[in-house]
Amino acid sequence: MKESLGIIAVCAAVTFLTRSLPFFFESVSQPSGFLKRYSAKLPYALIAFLAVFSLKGYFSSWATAVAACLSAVLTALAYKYSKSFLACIICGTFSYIIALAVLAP
Amino acid sequence: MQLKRSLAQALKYTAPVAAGYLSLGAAYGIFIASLGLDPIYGVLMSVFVYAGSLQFAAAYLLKEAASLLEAALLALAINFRHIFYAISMAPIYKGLPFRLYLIFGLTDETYALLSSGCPEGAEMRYYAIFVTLLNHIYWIVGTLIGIWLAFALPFVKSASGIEYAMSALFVTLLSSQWAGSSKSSRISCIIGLIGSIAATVLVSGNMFVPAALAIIAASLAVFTLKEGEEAQ
Repeated sequence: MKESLGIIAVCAAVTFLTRSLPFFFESVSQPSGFLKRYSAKLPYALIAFLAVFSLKGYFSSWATAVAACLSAVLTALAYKYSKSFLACIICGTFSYIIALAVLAP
Repeated sequence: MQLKRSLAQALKYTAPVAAGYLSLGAAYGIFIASLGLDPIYGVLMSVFVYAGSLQFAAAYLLKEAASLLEAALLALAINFRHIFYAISMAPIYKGLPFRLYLIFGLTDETYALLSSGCPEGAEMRYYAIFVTLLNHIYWIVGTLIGIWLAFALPFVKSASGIEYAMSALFVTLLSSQWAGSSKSSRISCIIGLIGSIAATVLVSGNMFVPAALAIIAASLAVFTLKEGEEAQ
C-alpha cells in the first residue's frame, strides 16, 4: 500500500515537473543549437524504448514471445492501413489474445 | 456570456478527445483490474498523474512494487516530450487563471487543441480551463467505466492477454512516429530500439530502465553531434 502510493506520488511529481519546468525557467524556454536538435530526436528514441519496455515481459516463454511479436507486427500493419489509434490497439490486443489461445491453449 | 460561449466551444472541440479518452481510459481501467491491482490505484493515477502512456507503464511498477527511482526514471522518460510542449505553451498560458492546473493538465491532446488557438466567440482564459478540465474529466470517467466493466463483466478482465493493450498502444505510437517522420527521426527510432534491446541483453531486473536510457541518451548525443558536423 505504502509502496504503491509512493510510486503514484513520484509519477505525479515527475509528470508535473516535466510539464512545468519551462514555465519557471526562462532560459530553458529558448533552447538552441545542440540541445534543440537533440531534444527534437529524443521523443522518437523514447517511444521506441517504451515499445521494447512494454514487450520485454512477454519473452518469459516462447508462446507469449511469438504471440507478442506477431501482434506487434499486426498492430503496425493496422496503423499503416487504418491510421486509427483505437482500431490499432483493439487489433493488436485481440490478435494477441487469439494467438495466445492458439499457441498456449 | 463569454463564459457560456467558451464552454460551448470547449465542448465542441473536445468531442473527438472525449471519444478517445473514454475508450482508452476504459481500456486502462480494465487493464488495472486484469493485473489484479486495487482499482483505487487506477483512479488515483487518473486523477493525480493524468498521463496515459505513463499510467499504463506504471501499472507494472505497481504490480512488481518497483523502486521509486525506477518510477521516477520511467516517468521522466515517458513524459520528457512534455517539456517541449510547455516551452511552446508558456506564452499562451501567461497571465491565465488556474495556471498551475493548466500546466498539470497539459496532455498531448490538450496541447494539440490549445496550441491551435482560441476559436471564435470564446475567450482564452475560459476556453483553456474548460478544455483542460473537460479532457481530465473524460479520462477519469473512462477509467471508472473500465473498472466498472471489469467488475460487472468478469470475463472482460479475465480474458487472457487483455494486458497487451499497453504494448499495442506503444507499438501504435511508434508506427505513427515512423510513418510521419524524416530520415533523421527514423534513425532516432532505430537508436531507441537497438539501445533498449542491448540493455535487455546486458543487464537484468531493476537496472533495465536506467541502462537503456543511458545507452539511448549517449548514442543519440553522438548521432546529433555527427549530424551537426555533416551539416556544416
